[in-house]
Amino acid sequence: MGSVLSWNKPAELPATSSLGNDSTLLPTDLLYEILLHLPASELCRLRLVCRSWRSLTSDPGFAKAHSSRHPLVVCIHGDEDSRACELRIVELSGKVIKRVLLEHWSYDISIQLDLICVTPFSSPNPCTILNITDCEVTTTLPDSTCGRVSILCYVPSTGQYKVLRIPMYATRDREGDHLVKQGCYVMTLGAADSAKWRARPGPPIFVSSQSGQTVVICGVAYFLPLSRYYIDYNPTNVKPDTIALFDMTTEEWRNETLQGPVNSHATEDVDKKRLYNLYHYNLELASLDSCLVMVQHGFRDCSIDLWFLEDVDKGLWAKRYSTQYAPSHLHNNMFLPPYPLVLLEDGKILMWVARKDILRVYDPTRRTWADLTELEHCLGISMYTGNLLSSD
Amino acid sequence: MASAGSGDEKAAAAAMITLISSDNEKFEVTEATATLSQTIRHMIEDGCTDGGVPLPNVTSKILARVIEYCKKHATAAAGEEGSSSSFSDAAFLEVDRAFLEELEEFDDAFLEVDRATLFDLILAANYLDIKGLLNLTCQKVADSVKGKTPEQIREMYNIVNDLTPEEEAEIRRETQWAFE
Repeated sequence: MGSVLSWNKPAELPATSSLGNDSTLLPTDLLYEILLHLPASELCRLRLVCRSWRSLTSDPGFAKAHSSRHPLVVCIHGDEDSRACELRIVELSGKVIKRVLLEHWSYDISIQLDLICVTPFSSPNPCTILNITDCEVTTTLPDSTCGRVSILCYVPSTGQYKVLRIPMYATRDREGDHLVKQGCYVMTLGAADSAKWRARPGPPIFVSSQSGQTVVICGVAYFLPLSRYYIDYNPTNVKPDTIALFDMTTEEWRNETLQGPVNSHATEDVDKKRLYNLYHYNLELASLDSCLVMVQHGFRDCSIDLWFLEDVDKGLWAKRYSTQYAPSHLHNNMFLPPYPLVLLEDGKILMWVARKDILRVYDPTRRTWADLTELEHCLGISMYTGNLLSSD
Repeated sequence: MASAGSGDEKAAAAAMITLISSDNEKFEVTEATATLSQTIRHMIEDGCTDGGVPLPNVTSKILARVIEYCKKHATAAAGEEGSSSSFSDAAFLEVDRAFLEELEEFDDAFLEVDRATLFDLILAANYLDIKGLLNLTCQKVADSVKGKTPEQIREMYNIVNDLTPEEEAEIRRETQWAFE
């Protein structure tokens, strides 16, 4: 095994001492351990030390181990004064390691591996897809008549990236009465017909495509019902925790919606208005450990429950975390529930507190919360799922 | 842990393990302390610790330090097992926190060693498979590298720069963002 890290031998010791050459060197696998403790920005700089440091830190296996130990967040930073908007990759320490200036004021990001889809606020401005490794815009999504928020999805079975949009539109029925409907459009990135949206059948229920209401895991997009239209448009059997599934490989909606764990016991005659008030903001979807998670916020007692989907076909959910936090999450009378971003290697959970713009860590074994860092003027946030170290 | 009743003392005595360093020094430690090492834990499980555990890769000087670490952290691990069953007890949490701070202070003091000892501790932690100690010591070396220029690191660790000017230019180009 090659030895690549040694210390300066103390001058007073002869070369033949017990601290001879053999013990003054660390084997490569221990250098590996040490370098795993450094953040990505340092490692890229330190590739200049020597060849072995370079090859070690460029190795895909190392890069993978590193990214799970040093998660990165991507956020949209909007400066109200200068109206400048940029995409940032940030270490959990708060250090910004990459910035990309965005052309338009944007709010929504959808990330899959190294690609990031950015949705701007105002409608004539198109959504763009950026590659974070070279910070270049790879695609400008055509035709905003297909809706606004774009959901980016990596399809593992084909290696393709697709974009999904669920626009609302108004139409009239035969009697000439107004009807609101939801469409569904898919586009494959980099394909020969990539500039075209393909119309697919609409969703089985009215769904919300906002971040926090939508999650993409392993080529399947999961949606919560659209609460704004919940009362008027979704039939009574649609509960606030009903989930619609869209398979990005086949580009079909699953016929059966998935019943969430929260409201399954609700009876038919429950006042829908009351349900609306109770659940409109308190259910969210998240992805932790590649598992679909339903986040249930209890506003009265500042509680948060995380339900993990254990078996999608049987509809089995397990409440793996249930905790409370200090009422400091109330801010200007606005409730600021934490949203889980990722399970950290040490078992803690990284959470995002919107509007306060704080990254907070929850330790389930000690049941304690700790603030990590503040990301001021953050308009949208997501975990970075790609890899900055490995070039392929 | 130990079985209840009159056998307490006997059980505690039976749970002692003898570790033998490369220079043949013997160390008596409790099983709870020794099993922080996964390597020793497996040996105990396989029932091959009678007559002592020879550790030919670890000197008595380093083994004494490793045992010092394990003793402190074995108490911490025992405390944590208790805490998970009574986590809602606010008073207990306070105690817990005070203990954690003490543990951090211990770790900081523990790392006040010269580089030779630090490297030997890393090698020992790796050989004995003590995850906490390996993390702690590797972090210390990583911290010593943080913020340094490649030249400074080469000088600190006697590393020869074997990169050609072309390769250096390539690295700067590939990861331009890291140099901004």
